Amino acid sequence: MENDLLPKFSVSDFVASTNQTLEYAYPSVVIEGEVESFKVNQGKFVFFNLKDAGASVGCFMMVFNLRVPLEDGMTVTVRAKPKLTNFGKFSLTIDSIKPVGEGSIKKGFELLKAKLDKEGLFALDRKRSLPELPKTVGVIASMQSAGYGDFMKIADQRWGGVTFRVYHTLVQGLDAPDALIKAIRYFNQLEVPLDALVIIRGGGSADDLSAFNDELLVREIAASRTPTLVGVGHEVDVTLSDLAADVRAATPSNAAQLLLPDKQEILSRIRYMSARLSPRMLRLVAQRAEYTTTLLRGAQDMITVQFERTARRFEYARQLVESYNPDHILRRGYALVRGEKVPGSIIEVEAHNYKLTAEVRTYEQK
Amino acid sequence: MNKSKTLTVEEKITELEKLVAWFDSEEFVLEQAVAKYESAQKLADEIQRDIGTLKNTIEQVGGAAE
Repeated sequence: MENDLLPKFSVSDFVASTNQTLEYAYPSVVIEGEVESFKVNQGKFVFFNLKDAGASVGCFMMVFNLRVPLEDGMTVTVRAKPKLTNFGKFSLTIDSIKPVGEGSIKKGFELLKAKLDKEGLFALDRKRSLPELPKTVGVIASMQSAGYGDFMKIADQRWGGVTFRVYHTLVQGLDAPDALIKAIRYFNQLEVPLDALVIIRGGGSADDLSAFNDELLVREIAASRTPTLVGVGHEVDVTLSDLAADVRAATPSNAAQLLLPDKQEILSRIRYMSARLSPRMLRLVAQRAEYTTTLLRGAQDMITVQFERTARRFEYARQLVESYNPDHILRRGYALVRGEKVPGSIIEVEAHNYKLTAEVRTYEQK
Repeated sequence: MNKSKTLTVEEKITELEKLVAWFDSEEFVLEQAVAKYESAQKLADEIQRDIGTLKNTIEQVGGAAE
């Protein structure tokens, strides 16, 4: 072919044209590989290579898009746009990344857990309790999932009168964390706050549940204005979202159990209270009657005591008065003399058993 | 008991608990016992009826998966 027939570019145009071609062919690609030469420059720019046994490609991303800690050797899935830089270097510009494979997911989980734990996001003293009888509850879930069905089924069995405001959302995949964050923000900016916010997802592989280990999502849950209840996966599954929640449920069904009281239990309690009232009232009436009788007996006893005390006082006074009776002195041999103490006057002498008159012969002071 | 019609189930349960507690409290007065007892029984019946008829409602407020 003649050169004249071939396309001709300036270097800049060629790079721009190549990028246009790449953008047309691969507007966005998902690639899985192993992280190599991971580094963060100036706290803002992330660089690493993504490799497998046969090839390696340079990757670039902004640090705010890095939602899970990375280390060399971790296997990740990235969603990226391929790009040729102005320096002719081919690279992937990543907009989302997540670890894949049990080992890498676990590694990412542990690294982020340690980081957030250090910040106190999982501290027990941050946990709030859920209201006893919530009236308005926000639910973030995939409405087509079995987990959502289980939650609603158990909720209906346990209690009624609750308004569930359901935000239907993605619960797995690269876009799930942002979708979940959007849902949480929606509920938290409501003018009238909800009583509780429930985030549920049924069981799945570690990869399926990894969206719930996204750093920004975990932070959003921890910062939620509304108390949060997170029930993700099966009993053995623990995600960082679980740990950041105010209340952690083992499963979506368990979330309904923790959120709502059991109406059968409440009814039993009401029946118990009602059944106890009648005998309780009879017992109280009997107690009052018994108390009245006791008071009456007490009053009677007090009257008796007061009477006896008065009788004793009277007897004492009577004996005192008696002791002053002059007759008692006369009985002892003394006599009572009446008359003037002048010689020649007639005086009367009274003894116990006689009286006499006598003349005063002399009178002198002793 | 018109007041109880406007109360929520939670408020009615609280009211019933208060009435039951009154029977054990220092405030117990024999003259008021019958009226309180009748109020409590009526409230208990209402709560049982309410709990039996309450239904949950679901409103989809936003979002779309896939």
